[in-house]
Amino acid sequence: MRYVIIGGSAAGISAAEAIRFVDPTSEIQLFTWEHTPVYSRVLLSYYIAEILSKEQLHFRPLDFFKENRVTAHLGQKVEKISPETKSIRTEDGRDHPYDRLLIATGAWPNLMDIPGKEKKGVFVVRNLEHAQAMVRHLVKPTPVCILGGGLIGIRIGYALSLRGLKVKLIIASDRILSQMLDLEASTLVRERMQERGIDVITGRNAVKILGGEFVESIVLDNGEKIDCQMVVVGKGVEPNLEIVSSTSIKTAEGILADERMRTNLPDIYAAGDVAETYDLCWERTNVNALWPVAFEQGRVAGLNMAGRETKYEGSFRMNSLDVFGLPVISMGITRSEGPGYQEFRASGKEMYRKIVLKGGRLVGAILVGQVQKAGVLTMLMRKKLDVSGVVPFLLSKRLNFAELLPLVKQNQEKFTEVEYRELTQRFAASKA
Amino acid sequence: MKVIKVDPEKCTQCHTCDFWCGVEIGSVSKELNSAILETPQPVPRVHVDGNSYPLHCRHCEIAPCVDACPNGSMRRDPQTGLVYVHEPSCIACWMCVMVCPFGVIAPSSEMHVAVKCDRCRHMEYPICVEVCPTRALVVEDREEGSAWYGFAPNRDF
Repeated sequence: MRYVIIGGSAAGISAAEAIRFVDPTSEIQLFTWEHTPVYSRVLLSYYIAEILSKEQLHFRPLDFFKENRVTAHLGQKVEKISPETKSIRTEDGRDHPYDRLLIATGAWPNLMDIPGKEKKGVFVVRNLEHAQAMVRHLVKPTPVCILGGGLIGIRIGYALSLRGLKVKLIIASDRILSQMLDLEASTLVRERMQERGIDVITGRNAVKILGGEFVESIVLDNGEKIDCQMVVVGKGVEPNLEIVSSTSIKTAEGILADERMRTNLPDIYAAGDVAETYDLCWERTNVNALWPVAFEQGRVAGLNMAGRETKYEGSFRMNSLDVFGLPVISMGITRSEGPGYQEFRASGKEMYRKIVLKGGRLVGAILVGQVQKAGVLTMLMRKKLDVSGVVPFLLSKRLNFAELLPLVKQNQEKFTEVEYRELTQRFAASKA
Repeated sequence: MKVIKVDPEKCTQCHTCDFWCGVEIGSVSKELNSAILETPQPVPRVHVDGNSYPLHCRHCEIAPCVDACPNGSMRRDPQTGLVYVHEPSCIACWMCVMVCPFGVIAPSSEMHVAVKCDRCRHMEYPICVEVCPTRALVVEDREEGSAWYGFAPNRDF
């Protein structure tokens, strides 16, 4: 058996581990156009903030490929997939055959079509090279404008602010993190950022970047001009689909993958930010471009590729963020999206919690300030339990798993994993 | 794999387990008189949340926290399969907190680290099991046929 993996980030590495777990001997070839292996994209803002060095970005030891007997082709872009001959072609013109192929090509930042975007000092941050280029640009403290109030914009803005730079966030919607948070939660984050000196401008778009060779200022849609020497565009990411455009692999927003992470073509699998899979909260397919999701999908793809049938139950959006010591977690659907939805809230000093139910099922949650036990809510969302009888408990500080054991027992068929089963059985020594 | 099992019918909610876990495992001094005065306060790894079910990390067969950790700080002991946090590299991003189904990973902002039970993997016997006055906690083999999966490096990196 010859396995080929395209992509060397979370999904690709996780798949390689899974294949090796089942199949100790077959050949695994991994291709990535990047030159630095096994570093964590989600930690780039820590690198920019100088909290982590380049060496500390690795999520696996540097000899990962050797240890797992994976032939890594770093800096090799794959240009073409040929399903009819079961091979791929790299940019140097060489063909590599596969028996099973994983497409884990990830995503790429949405670029803004704005006049002046080619000027020096305009950045996106998706990979290590982007982050390094940005850091090199920071020779002297410069005011920075961040375009976009999503997770990327907030993280990079926060990182640059920790380095002592003057940061302005320019956000088209009426609040920051509008995809993740409701107004109450968003306001708490905004207040914390403003207290620490980050300016937040909402309801405005940048229309022009001015300057000569280098950025000097930006112009907003109300005509206001803001001086800055650096612009960061954080407008989300989209799946890297160009590699499948010449094939009959089915795509929607991403590559459609079934519950075994298979595409519609035989022996071709997809996982990670490029894949579109079942969303447990929306109950339809969705691209959830997130690190833990990519890791899980990569594992399921790898196990299935190696012949161990494993079902992928689905994912939902989830993010964890810490802004100047204010922890924030957001999961699933965070506001009522029509009839059948119910919202419940609790708040206190620098604390906010909201859960969203649909037909009695927990489909979303926001936690600000106190995030301990957030995972219990994740579990309830994954297991699709009816939680309508325990809403006040879920919103309270008392939230804990042990008190939900009766609910677990009532739904035993959904808790087949040994770690749950052994909680509801009395132990052997106790029976004696 | 050997795990801690709980008999809720024997638990009297006396908090001896989390108390001594805090002193012996969570504190810097490892000595009661000093431990109670430490700042930040020691964090116990076992949670007794107002009910008779002391809850530890369950060392899931497929552990979501190991998947979620963005820099490999959450990992498995290659010999025993026990899940532990490599504290020197933990960056306190709380991704593990977000996915732990049992809610037993404590985000310690003061210590800037995710705190969880590793079943006292370097000790002969877990402290909570040793001190439990009613033997509501025991160490037992996980049922036959169970396995564990996930990142288990032979050394720190």
